[in-house]
Amino acid sequence: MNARLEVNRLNFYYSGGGHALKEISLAVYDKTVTALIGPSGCGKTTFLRCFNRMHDLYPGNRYSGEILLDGKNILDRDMDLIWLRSKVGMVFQKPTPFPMSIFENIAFGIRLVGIKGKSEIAGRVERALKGAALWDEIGGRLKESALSLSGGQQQRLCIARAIAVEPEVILMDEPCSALDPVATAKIEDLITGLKEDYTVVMVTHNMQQAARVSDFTGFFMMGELVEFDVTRTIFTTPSNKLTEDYITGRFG
Amino acid sequence: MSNTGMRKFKNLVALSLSTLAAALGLFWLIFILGDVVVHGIGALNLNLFLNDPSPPGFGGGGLRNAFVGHIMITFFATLLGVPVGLLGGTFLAEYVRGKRFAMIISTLSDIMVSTPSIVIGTFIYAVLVKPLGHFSGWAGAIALAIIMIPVVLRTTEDMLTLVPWSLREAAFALGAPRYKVIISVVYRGAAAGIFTGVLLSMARVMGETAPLLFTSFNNSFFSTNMNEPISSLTVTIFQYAMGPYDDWHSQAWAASLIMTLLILAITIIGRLVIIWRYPGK
Repeated sequence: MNARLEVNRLNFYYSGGGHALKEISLAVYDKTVTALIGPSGCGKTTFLRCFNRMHDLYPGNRYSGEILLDGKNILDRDMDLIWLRSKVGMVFQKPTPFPMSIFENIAFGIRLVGIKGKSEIAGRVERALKGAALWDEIGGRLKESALSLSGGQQQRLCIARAIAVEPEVILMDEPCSALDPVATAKIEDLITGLKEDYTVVMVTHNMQQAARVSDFTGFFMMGELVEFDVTRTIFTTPSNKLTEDYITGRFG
Repeated sequence: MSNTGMRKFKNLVALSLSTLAAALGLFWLIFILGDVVVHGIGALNLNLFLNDPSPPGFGGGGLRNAFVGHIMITFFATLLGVPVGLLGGTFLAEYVRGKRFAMIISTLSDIMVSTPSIVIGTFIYAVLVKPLGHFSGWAGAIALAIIMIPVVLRTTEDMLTLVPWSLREAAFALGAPRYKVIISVVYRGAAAGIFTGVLLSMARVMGETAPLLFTSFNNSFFSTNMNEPISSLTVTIFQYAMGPYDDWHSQAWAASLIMTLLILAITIIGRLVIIWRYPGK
């Protein structure tokens, strides 16, 4: 299997000086779903946000080590963040539809990558909505405000928005934590389908979810990667006592 | 007295006092507005809008020059003041948010908002009218623009700050450069609030007299030349109300009524935009 992302001895420091990630090394394999689990404050979201350099929005944050995307170290100082973020998309914990129409929400990202033709944009919007299993539900309401959609639809719209740019990797930060079980099931189905074309890294608090949708799982604690392995192994025969305690619910 | 009785008594006292205070405020408000309506409505006629002033005692004169002058001054003040306030507010909220510099500018703007407008009038008199040697419409427009800038700046800053940070992150995560994030996403989220702020700042400067007295002064003749003194409704009201002629007085009442209705209309539009955009809040 090909590694799409390779993390080597990554350290991350917040501007306040907090050493949030310590010597993390792992590989994210192409066209798989990797789940990051661990107790609150363990650094899994911090880790996820390194992949698209979201931390750079706030001054004073610092990285060391390397993250290779197709052989290029994305932590390089002269990395083009706009290029990086078009290759590594992100879906957030709470749905974040832009205050514009459903169509414009998706077209926004498509225009950013330089596509101008009206029919091509429309085609891409349709493909993205189909890819996010939304076309049948809202294909006829593209001119309506995205804010009129339900929470689950908004989140799938955000996924459609992310895949419309055709990235290589999609990051998901607890994408179902604000949704009810029905909407959650839909998103989980969607994630399973997404790995046909994309590499997915997701943070989740829901252990069953990690077990259901992911191929690999990383367990974080106190800024360290305690264990990283095939999901089945993590959930059946973890090699670390801490991992076992956590997944069996003894703490966290 | 029982505990409940005491509580009810205290409640009654507080309720009576606050009702009284509200009634007192309302009384003067209705008194003033009622007075303006009663005196103004009789003096309203079409000539007011179509004719320029006639010499006292001749009758039939209007305030066309003042209406046009007022609209021109307000228009140019908006044209000058809104972009500066908008960009300044954007700078504070989007580029230097939370920094000491931003807080200093915000505080200074708050002080500017409550600076007596006559101070700004005399300031423009000193830096523009005196050196040029004459009053002008531009001086008036600039004085009003200076009054507008801090209002628009603070509203813009507040409205942009209200746009959730997660929305910006989502736009950045798609690979949008900063200016695109601001223009396409953040402005859209704050548009209704900013628009309301602009309207309210216009309503605020439309009622100003003092800064115009020192800058655009007045003109008894019809003029659209911004380089010359130009008439405005508020200064005309001031002059006519102080004058000795009865038809001046009635025209001043009519102008006051129109002015009040205009500002009321703008304020109502502003409120409606807020209600339409943020239902239930």
